[in-house]
Amino acid sequence: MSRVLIVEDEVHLAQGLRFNLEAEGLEVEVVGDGETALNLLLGRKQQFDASCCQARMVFPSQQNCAPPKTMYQY
Amino acid sequence: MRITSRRKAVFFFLSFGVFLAAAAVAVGFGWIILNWEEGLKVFLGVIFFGAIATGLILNTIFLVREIRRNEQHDSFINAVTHELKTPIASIRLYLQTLQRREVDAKQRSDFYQLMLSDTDRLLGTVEQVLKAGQAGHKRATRHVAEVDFRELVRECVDVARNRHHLPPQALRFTEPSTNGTDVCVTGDAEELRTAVSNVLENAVKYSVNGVDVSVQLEISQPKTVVLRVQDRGAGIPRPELKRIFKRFYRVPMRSLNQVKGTGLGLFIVRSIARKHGGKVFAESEGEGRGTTVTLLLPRSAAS
Repeated sequence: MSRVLIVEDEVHLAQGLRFNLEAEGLEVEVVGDGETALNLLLGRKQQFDASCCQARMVFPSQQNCAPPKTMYQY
Repeated sequence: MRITSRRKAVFFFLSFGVFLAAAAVAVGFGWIILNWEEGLKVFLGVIFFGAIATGLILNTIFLVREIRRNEQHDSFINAVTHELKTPIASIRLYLQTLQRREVDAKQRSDFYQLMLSDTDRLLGTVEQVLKAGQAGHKRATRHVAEVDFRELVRECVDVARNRHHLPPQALRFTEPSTNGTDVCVTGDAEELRTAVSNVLENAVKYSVNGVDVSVQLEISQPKTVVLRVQDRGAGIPRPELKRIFKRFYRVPMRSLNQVKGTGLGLFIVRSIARKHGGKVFAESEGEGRGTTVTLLLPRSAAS
């Protein structure tokens, strides 16, 4: 089964996305901010096939930037 | 790119203004020194160069103010656009989901609940913006009357408890012991209610690790009503304590990324407090150690 990581700080949007993706038969993990997502990805404990996040997802330590390059490698 | 080029322009014109003002002062002094012997020329020089220098300084000050206003306006547009777009996006998502998928009854009622709370948020933002617009006007309040402030606070506490599904011990209200006399404030009941519920709303909203809010109403001096709302939430770093009352200002704290807002709530509270001849201030031991917001209002003579 494919696994998707959703990075979304709005709980309602994240829940809606999760419902739809799960209805498509995907396994979904939701995190609230970019930093947590990055830790999850870098930690390599879990593998994801795709990640869905806002283009302007604010990384608290890197205000107003696009997802860092490190994220694209996974 | 756009922002940096604007910064450069701002920097250039500010330094240009300062430079011109300094030049006018320097030329003026030069003129006075060169024509020291001739009283009339010195007199005219002082007036003429003085006027130019004053004009340039005033112009530069005006420029700084306008730039600040403009920045505030930008942050307002950003905050409000985000606050308007997100609930709409959420409602759309759920409507499309309901349209396209088979959803069981339980799930459907959950979705309706989520959409309803999104419309509440939307409505709240629109009301906040409208109220901030009204609060910005300095004209006198329209529906001035004697308001039973104790009753008003009690109502606001009830509303907040219901809205956030809080048990009474999570949001406690301590009433003053006044031997039956009323705690009256002269003012607009609707505005006072807005102010009190904004303060309560903040206390609950920023209680990130569980709500524990205490609301105290007191009469400190015979003529002052004191409302103290104390939470054990996120707290505020000392340098931010005054800024939080500015329009559109929100404390940039990492732990608060999840807490949404327009930065208008406390601005509205302060405007309303001032309109009623009162004031409001915040105290905090620091980040993570809770906040106390105190609202002081003049007690009306009748009570």
